[in-house]
Amino acid sequence: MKLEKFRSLSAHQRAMVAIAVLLDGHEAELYLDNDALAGEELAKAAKDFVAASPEFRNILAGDALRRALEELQSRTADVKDERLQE
Amino acid sequence: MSIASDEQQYGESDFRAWDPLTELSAVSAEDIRFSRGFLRSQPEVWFPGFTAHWLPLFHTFDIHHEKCGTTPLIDLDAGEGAAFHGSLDGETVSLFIPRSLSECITRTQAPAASLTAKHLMIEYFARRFMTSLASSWSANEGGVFRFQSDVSAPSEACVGGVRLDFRLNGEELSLVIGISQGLMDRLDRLWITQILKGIPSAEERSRVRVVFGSTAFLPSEVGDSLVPGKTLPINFGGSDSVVLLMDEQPWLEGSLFTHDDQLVFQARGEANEGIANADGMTSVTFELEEIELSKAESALLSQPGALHKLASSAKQPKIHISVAHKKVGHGILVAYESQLFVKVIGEQ
Repeated sequence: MKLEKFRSLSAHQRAMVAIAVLLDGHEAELYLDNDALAGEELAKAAKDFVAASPEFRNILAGDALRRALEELQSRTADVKDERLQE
Repeated sequence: MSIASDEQQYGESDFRAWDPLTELSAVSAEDIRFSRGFLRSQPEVWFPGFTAHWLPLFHTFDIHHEKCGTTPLIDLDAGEGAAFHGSLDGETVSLFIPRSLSECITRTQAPAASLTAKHLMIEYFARRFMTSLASSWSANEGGVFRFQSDVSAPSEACVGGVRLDFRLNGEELSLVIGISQGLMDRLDRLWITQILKGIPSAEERSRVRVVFGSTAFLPSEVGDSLVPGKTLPINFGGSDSVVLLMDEQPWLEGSLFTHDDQLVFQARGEANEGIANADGMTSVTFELEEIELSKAESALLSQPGALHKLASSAKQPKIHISVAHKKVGHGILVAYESQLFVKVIGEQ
């Protein structure tokens, strides 16, 4: 399973793809490819995910969502720290 | 009611001029503009497959859903909550999600999630909602929808929208879909086209009288009653309600409003009864004006809530007094407490 396209996305975009795959499976593409900035990339990344078997796909998407969230939350924490130091 | 008893009951000085500008509610130019099309529309009929997009999710999360209604709006009051934007053929579409709905989504789909995760869930809900809306719109005609994933404000502001009321697991919720001017004009035209479909001879015109009310006198009293300076009771009607007679038959009843300095009629429904005409009495009707409407205009106006701007001024409107469909005089509206009367000013 190739996830290069997925890994090249921002944390926010990866989280969107993971949620779409977890909730909508094969239909995830439909809800992502109309993104004004990166529709094609998001849809392709979702397509790569759903190529895997449902069990594997959900485990993978769940893990990807957790990692993306950690990244987003650590950035939020960094911003808070910077503001506190200012 | 005889004239003598009226004069004993009310002194001349007790009457005050009835001012529609203070007594009636005002409507905006947009209310009038969209009152026969967009504001009367039933948007749900244009999105036939919308619910089908949501059934798998509702099933997965064991959510019982009920649709409660859709209401077209021209005054957007989205309240507090999250806003997401997109574009359809260059026109802005926004989704306003109130806090109550956000809480419901996150409670059912990710109850123990962090705040960041909850925000992402709401964003995905918005993407999903707007995508299913655009793809199920039967009149989209190949229009391309784009979800604006950055948080910048839309290029064009929403001037109207549709409020959706629904229940999820018994909880009453709502959301507002905002649309920009071009989409609102398009939906307005779409509804009008649907209403006018199948109306034969749409240009054929009918005469319509706008009747404010009526009274009845004994034939022997009529001559003495219609004298300048006399104040006539309004036995039938006599409030902000008016009846439209089409070809002398009761057609629509409705209410009066104002816009700038003009009176506006708002249809409420079919008129149930005509002008009272008791046996042995002469009926005197009080009319605001006579208008001419094509069949197409009549069809649009007969929708409850539709507005029609009248020619009559809201500043002391002239009341035409008719007997047996013949104008015999004119007057103005005066009030005694909450009761309205017509004061005869002159002959026709």
